[in-house]
Amino acid sequence: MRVIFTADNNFAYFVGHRIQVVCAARQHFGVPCPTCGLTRGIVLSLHGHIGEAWRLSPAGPLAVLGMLGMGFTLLAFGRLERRRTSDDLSRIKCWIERSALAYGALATVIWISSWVSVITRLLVKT
Amino acid sequence: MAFCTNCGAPNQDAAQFCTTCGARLSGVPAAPGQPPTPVGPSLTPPTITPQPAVSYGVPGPPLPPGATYAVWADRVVGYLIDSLLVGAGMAVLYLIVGGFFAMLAGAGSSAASGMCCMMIILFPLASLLVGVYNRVYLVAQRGSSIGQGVMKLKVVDGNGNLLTMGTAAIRLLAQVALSFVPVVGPLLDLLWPLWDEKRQTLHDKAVGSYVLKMP
Repeated sequence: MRVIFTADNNFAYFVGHRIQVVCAARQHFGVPCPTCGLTRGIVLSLHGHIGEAWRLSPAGPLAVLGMLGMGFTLLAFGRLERRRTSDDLSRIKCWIERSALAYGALATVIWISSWVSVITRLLVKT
Repeated sequence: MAFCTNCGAPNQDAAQFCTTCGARLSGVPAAPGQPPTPVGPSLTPPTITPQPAVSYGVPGPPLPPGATYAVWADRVVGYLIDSLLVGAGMAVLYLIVGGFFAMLAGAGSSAASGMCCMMIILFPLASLLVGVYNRVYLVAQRGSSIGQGVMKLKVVDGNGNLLTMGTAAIRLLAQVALSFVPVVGPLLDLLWPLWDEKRQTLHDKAVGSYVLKMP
């Protein structure tokens, strides 16, 4: 993905071609939808520009970090499995599931709060 | 400090027998013709309660008659068939969309540009839709994706039942998550069945699924 997708603050690019998807909410109502900036945020996060991605939409870096965390956790779980009993593994799995749910809930709250603050700022300006 | 291999109690390095259970300590050869003379508080050998064997890992599903855990090569061939089908499906989609654009706007540069833009949007969208249909819907409904069906593979849970849609979706999500770990993630996920006792990949372990080769 890092190879075929690139992005700047304004556009995401697929193999050098600009992806021009216009948000219907932004076009008709002048306000961004919750997923605006998600593609650019994910691509910028994959390229290591977490700060820029966060400014566009926290959902991008949060999704990438969540996926990375899940990937590393699975690698660690695969290593553990041969050395732990079934009961131990059930406990570990339960803990992983709860952590993933908590992370997902927290990420959603941050994402929606950020979107609401953007909308509020725009409404106050107008 | 030497530790008894029988009961694990600590002993002096020079000791020939364990002071707790009386067993001969390893590394100290018995003198020829001389029976071992246990030392310690008790001269009678202690009664050792047999410990139940500890089994590691998760027990697998009940295997139907004639079924075995799918070998790595079968799984890879199934995966390649799935990938080829997705590629072929998308190529057909591109041709249809391309032809549609060419018919509508003629052979001008604007048509080519429009088609290019459409393809860029279509590529991730088509991959997602075909992937979800093949790897989630079909796996939950009949136990195998198209490629797995060709190779007579079946995905089941720990009880031998088909996966639910939610479990199949999490299984796909786990595979995607592993692809976010640069190089090591997808590579280890792909190769894991080579050394795993139940031939599971890491995304199988995430949801406790097993891939069986049906007779």
